[in-house]
Amino acid sequence: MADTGRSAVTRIPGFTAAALLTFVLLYVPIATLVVYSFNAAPSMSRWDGFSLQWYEAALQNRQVREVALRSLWLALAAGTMATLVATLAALATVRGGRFRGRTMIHALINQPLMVPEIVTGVALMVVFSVVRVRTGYDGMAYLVLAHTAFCIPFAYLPVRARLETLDPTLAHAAADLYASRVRAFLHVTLPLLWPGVLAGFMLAFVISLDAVVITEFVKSAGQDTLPTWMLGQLRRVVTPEMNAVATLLLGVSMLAVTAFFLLSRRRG
Amino acid sequence: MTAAQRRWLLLAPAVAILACVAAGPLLVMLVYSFLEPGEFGGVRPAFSLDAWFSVLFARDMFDPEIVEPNIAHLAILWRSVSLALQTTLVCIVLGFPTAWFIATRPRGTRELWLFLVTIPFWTNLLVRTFAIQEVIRNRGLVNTLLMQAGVIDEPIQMLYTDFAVLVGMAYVFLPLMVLPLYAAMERVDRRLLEAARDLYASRWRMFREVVLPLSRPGLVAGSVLVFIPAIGAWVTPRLLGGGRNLMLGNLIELQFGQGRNWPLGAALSMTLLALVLVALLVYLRAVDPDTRRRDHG
Amino acid sequence: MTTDTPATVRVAGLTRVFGDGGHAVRALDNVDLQVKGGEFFTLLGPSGCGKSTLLRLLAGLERPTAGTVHIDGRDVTALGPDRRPVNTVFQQYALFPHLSVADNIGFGLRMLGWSRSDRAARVYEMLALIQLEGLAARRPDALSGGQQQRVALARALAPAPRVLLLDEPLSALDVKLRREMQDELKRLQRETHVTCVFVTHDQDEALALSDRVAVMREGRICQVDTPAGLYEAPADAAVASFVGDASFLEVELLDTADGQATVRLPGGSVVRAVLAAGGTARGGDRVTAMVRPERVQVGAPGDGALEATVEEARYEGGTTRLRLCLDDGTTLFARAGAAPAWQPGARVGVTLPDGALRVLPA
Repeated sequence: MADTGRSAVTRIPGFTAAALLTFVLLYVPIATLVVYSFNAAPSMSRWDGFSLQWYEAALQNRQVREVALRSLWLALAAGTMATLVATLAALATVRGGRFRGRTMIHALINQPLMVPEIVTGVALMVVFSVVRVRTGYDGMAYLVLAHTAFCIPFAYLPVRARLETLDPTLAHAAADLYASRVRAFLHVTLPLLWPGVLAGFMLAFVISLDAVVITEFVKSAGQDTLPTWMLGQLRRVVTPEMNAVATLLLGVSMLAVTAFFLLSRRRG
Repeated sequence: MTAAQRRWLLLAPAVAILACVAAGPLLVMLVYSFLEPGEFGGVRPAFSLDAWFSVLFARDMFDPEIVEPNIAHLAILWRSVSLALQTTLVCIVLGFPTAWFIATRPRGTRELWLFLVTIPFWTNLLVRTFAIQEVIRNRGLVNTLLMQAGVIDEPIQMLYTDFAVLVGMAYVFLPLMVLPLYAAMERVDRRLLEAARDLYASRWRMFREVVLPLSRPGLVAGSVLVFIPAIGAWVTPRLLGGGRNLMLGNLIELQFGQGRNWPLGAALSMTLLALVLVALLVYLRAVDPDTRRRDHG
Repeated sequence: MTTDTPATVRVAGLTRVFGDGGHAVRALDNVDLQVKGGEFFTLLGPSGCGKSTLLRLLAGLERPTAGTVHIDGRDVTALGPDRRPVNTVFQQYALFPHLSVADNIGFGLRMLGWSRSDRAARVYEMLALIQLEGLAARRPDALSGGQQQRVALARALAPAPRVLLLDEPLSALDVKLRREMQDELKRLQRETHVTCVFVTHDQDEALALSDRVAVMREGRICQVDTPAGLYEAPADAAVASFVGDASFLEVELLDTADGQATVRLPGGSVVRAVLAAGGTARGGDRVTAMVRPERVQVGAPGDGALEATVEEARYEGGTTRLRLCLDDGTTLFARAGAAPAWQPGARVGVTLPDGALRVLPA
């Protein structure tokens, strides 16, 4: 190894080892989970060979299918709404300079990031319980609304970041070329902004899929999502079926994160 | 339509949703904390400071005139703060070298290492918590390996202890420490390290005198980002802690469930929020001069 | 500056290879060098010639693949940068952004374990030396480029190193400031008597500042000499073209004797030239000869041994730089007085006086 000279002088002893250990610690639990989801034996104490039986069991479990589907469409609905609302908000806050109330708007948008989830959860439970009694409505709208609010800051961040890198003169140039404001937005700003919007949606989607505390407190009977269902199961004796469910969920998250990673890397 | 009107029109949906589903409910909670509890949950519209009083104090069962500290609440408050601080510390110890390692990789491979850190972060919280359960349960990975190696005869009880909560929270929140640390370290000019070494600093002093102070904004940001969700944790203590290893979040839940004392739950929620705000203020005070300095540089 | 002072820096067989296997790059290839005590020594060369690598090896910031470094007669090859009595002024200064000017200057002293009061005295002394007494409490980012440069110098000088290493320290400054800082650097060196090893790609800077200059190319040293020596007696065409303006002519060598040569110019006339050492050419060979622009005399057509056309005339204030094209196609640079009437396209006569040409080794 001839190339050790440059880094040798500024290397901090032990840091590389500690970092690599950390990566191992990060991935051992996940790897354990994935490996044992393919274990034919029902326990960790032995390995009986490769098997897909737990996946079969999980996919044939009506309850799992039901809560997984609910999670997906909830994340889709809340993610879409949050992205739409956050994109509009980002257009208002990034363009057109400073304005009165900007700090307050930012505080409001970022509030779900700062307030502990448990506090938001019980607060929503209290407020919605009143609404439930008054209106008699007990559907999924509460969950969609709660998830949307919770996802707004996550969708807002990438859109805003993207918008800040865009050259505002592009839209002005389009306006100079007699494009109407709407057409300038549709033909110039939106296509350039699109990767940010998609990235924002990915984040919002994953966050909604992940949200457990708020869901637990807002849902009514029969509105379990995958996370709340798992929360209930994990307090009991866990079957390897759970490994399979967790691995599948892991796969979905990884796909979304990879998509987010690729999207946010793409330059305009 | 003026520019201002257009701006507020664009903001209207976000403001409406957040006001109704985020800010509004918090105000309701604040109001509830000053009311009397209803008989079967809920509140009675009568002003009372009892909830706030019982966050920290209790009255003697036989003689209400005797006021004593609420030992149970104080213990839970202390455990929450202490576990959150310990989590932050573990995350610093593991996250600092990790972030430095990533920041000192060649430009092309940095993004890949960062990606490796973020993957667990975006993995479902329950999946990660479950994974930790699998590792530390009595018939889990660690105990199985140790027993097969003959180091121990009986499994070590790790699950359902404070230790398990600490491990779980550190595992779950570690990326929140690494990312801001990395962002700060990435700006550090490598020549500064060489300058320190050239000026007679040992590696260790180079670390203490240059790396550490220049990473400080990231260290502070990371600590706050870890501390805030850790002090408000609810899932991790519920799944990894035992029945008696409550944290503040679980205590709050209890008041809205079996406890049937909504005002107390509201007051405890506001207490938790206050702790978070304190952490944020510490952060703002610690970071402000640095951001000013960086902007010039 | 006496020549019998023992060498402060002695480098022998120094080699640095980056990468390995098929991608190995020899940044420094078997370099020998001696820098005398109190000398201002410059490593000059284009980027990628290995001059910065050599400096980093002297500082201990890198380890050589082969060879040794001695400082004050002591072998420091295996020592880290913190154990060598040398300090560096870095490109772009590398001032610690979190420390005040005074703390930057005192950093090395603190690492060496100086007491607080000794440190304060020394820092004050250095601040006086660089004439920035009023700025002790400032942060580096509140200083101008020139001020940062001075603080970087003071920081490197504060621990009184045996050798001061300077890595293109003036390259970030604008032209006017760079001139000022060159004078400042000379003054500081005169006052501190510190041995300096200076790295630059700017030949004017090298000639203006140095006692001696090593011209480097592709990891090797081409020539070590005084600025005048380099300019007047370059060892080869590469050095000649890198240091100052030079024109090259193909001439026929007629006779050689005692470092003198008689050559026939393209036009047929015969002049006397200086013969550079190391050449193996004999009478009758075609050889390359070099001439500096100020030695070329330009007159009216028919006035000299050669005829040429003016291709470009650039007024440089005081003098005019002429690019001439000889009738055989050779390009020749000349420097004429204040504002001569020659315009591009004009025909001129060119004279190369005896001794103006220098025959270079092939």
